[in-house]
Amino acid sequence: MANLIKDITVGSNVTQVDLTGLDIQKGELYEMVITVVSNGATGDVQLLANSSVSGNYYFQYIFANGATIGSGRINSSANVNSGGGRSIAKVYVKLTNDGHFVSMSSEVRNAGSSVVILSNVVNTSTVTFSSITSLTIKSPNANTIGIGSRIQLYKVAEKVDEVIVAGSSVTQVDFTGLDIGKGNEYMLVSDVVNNTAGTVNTFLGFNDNLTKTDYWLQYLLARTTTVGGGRVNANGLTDVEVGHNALVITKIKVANSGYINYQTQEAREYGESTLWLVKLAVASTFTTSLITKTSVKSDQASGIGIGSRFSLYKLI
Amino acid sequence: MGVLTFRNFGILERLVASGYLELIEDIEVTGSSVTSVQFSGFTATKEDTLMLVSEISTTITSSYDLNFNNNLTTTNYYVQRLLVNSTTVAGNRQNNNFFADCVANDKVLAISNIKLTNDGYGTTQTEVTKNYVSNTPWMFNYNGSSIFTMTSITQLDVIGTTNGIGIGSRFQLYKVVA
Repeated sequence: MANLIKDITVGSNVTQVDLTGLDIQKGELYEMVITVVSNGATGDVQLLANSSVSGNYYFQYIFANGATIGSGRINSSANVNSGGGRSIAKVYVKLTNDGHFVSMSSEVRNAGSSVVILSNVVNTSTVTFSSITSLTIKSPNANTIGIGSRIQLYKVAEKVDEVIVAGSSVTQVDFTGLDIGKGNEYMLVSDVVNNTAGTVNTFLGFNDNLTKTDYWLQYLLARTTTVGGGRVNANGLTDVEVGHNALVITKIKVANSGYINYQTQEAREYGESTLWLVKLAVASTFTTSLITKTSVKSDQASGIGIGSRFSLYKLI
Repeated sequence: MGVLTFRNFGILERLVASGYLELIEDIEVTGSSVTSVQFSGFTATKEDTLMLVSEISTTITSSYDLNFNNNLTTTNYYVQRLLVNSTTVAGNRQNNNFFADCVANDKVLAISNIKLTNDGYGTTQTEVTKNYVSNTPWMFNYNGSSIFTMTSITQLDVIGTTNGIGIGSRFQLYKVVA
């Protein structure tokens, strides 16, 4: 099975690039590499599913430009912004279990220059789709996607296990029979639905160790123009407020020293105008040579709602 | 390639598996600490996407450079950092190719996406968990770029301070299977 689905190099200055003939379903995870060599300022280059308009999206960003940190939320779609040079973004693309189109990106802006800027973005559609048959990369400024720009779309192919919560809400989801050693790379995609009466706090445990104090986490959040951080003696995954959803992409690694590490990127409250961006860096205080089981657990009974979906991918 | 099953709460479905990453090289530091490690004997073109997983143990406080194609001049690179240490969020831009750092007697995990732009600049996007053994994990992001161009990547060097890469450190370089 080929992982590379599309690879388009722009031969003349254009306003948009269309990726057509796609068949992106809810259970799948895709990655894009978007390189824009700009022909003038591109503005926020939009990523649009099924020819939908940018007003059907919100994006939350955080950037670091020298010592300046900034964040904001805009009623549009964006992953790349180039002021005249070149920018490259790696973008996770996902259709959530309730049909929202969500993307998360990390961008090197102004690559090749002395003023490189770091940007992280989460995007959500406010409309839903049953599948995605086309993606459009579109600049708001005419013909600013320049010659040499390149768009690559990959499918993350090897899903080893999946749980979809149906019938009734659950408190815990387990993946068993795993064989995650020090030489492996795994990714867990958690689409968490909260249909309880309160905030649901979810945690990620390994080999039946869900003791919070056996893990430390550092978080970063961007919620409109508020940027915050904190360190917690816990193994958090996401906190989802009542009536909202969260999409979390988690890289899981057993370090060579045996400590379990995971790093997350999250689009919290996707599908809504209140979208925010969260990232975690987490490590265990205990060691192991092998992960045979991983669990997502809610602090609240039956806190993981109907429609939640957890997909575990093996990258190698 | 094999046939795997996955659960859908009672609905059994089948999925044909295929590898997403292929391992180019896996380097583990044994015996004694080293100053640098090198990946060579591979070719990554503009079509390719690389991922480097670096786990570094160190007895010496060190920053780590990531160099392309034996270009070891640090000022030929720029990196923008975003760091989060407890409630402190800060950034800075440096005229070098740092992609990780760690304090003495601790460990750091750095996962880097490495990619040539279509016009040949080498770029890195690195997510770092720093100082995690001391139970004070920091989150660092390093997004960097060369200011020189290449047609392909054939060598990567990770360089720390003298003997800054300790025993037990491990570096795994992967390529996304197209």
